[in-house]
Amino acid sequence: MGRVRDLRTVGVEPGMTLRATGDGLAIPDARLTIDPARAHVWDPGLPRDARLRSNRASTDRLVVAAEVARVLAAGRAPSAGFGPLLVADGHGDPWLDAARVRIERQVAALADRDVEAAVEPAVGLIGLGTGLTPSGDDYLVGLLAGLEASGDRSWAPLARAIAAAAPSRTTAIGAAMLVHAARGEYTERLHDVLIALADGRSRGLAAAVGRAMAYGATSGADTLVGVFAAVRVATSGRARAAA
Amino acid sequence: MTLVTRGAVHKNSYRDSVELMGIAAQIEALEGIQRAGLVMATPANLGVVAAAGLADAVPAGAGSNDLIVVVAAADEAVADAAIARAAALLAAGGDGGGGSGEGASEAPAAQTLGEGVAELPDANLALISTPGTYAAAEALRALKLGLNVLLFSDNVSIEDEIRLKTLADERGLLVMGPDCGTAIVADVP
Repeated sequence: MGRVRDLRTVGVEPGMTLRATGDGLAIPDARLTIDPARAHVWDPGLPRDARLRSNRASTDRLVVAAEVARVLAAGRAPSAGFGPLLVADGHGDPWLDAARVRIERQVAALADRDVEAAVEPAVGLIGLGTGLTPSGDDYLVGLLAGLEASGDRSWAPLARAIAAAAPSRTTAIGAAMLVHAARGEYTERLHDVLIALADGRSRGLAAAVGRAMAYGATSGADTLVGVFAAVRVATSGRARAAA
Repeated sequence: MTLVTRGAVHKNSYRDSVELMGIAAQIEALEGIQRAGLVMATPANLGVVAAAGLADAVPAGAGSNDLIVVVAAADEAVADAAIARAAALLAAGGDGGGGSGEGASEAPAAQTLGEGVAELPDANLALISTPGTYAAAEALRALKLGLNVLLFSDNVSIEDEIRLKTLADERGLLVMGPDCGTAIVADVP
């Protein structure tokens, strides 16, 4: 069976009742049963092939892959949220200016391996921006995922600080998302972006970036800004260590 | 010139950022309005609002799950009109949380295209502004209701775009977009 993109194509309409049947789920009005015995179990933790490796050759490749991904994302960047940051645009917009200052301070602190100094700008990004999940929240999810993928140990204490601050600083949905990210739980779209970055081939990058950017009105773009910030941290640190 | 600031709160109201930015842009375009913002009242956003000189406009008690509208205007009448206009635009977008701002309509807004057409039988245009994943299905529904479509949403696949425009062509209707930008139709931006 192929992918079902729209449940209406299998007869499911908004408002129908979903019943637990004991060994599965059923939507009687659509004559649909969902049998978990045949379901794939999906783990929100980062898969092994999403790890960004850390020798010098792969760092060079990662820098190139991230730039390709950024250009791909910039081509479809929304004008709202942090999208303009993908194209180094939006100067003079008070939200983007606030975001840009905090992101740069955070990236500089993380590149210096100063997690403590990275916490304050991270907390300042929680709840920053418009929308259902404010752009700052989406950015931080991308950042945490990217840091974890690159094996950067700063991600765990930073994640704990973000999870502790989130409930009082953002929307209920944004806070829930950040708490999950702090546990290392991310969306499949985000896994795919990191897998594509680790692999580095442009076809995979185009597909993964396309799917990520299609998520939400600006959330996908905001998340990618965070991933690219994490790649900057990872590659700048390694470049210095190798020098 | 002394600016007048005004604000309204829409409790537990969630909107996507493109919709909010679009409404803010429409409010800022009104004559006599210098600044306008529609954001969730998180501490980070309130900090930016204060830095923009709009701290006085923030309604007391607004929290992180509340949407606030803040404006700075040349005079009180312009400020009040802008707040009312923002409430109307939010209501027109299908208010999920029940607007409680000044000027918000108490009448339940239509929640679906079908309900909208029932209310406005002469309507001939639907503006679709949802995340791209859902936009094609809504546009298809609008076309089947005999409506022309202004498809503001982006991230609609080329296959869906072709399907929509083929159907529109068959029915003598127009699909503008996806990623259509804004337009002024019958004097309404």
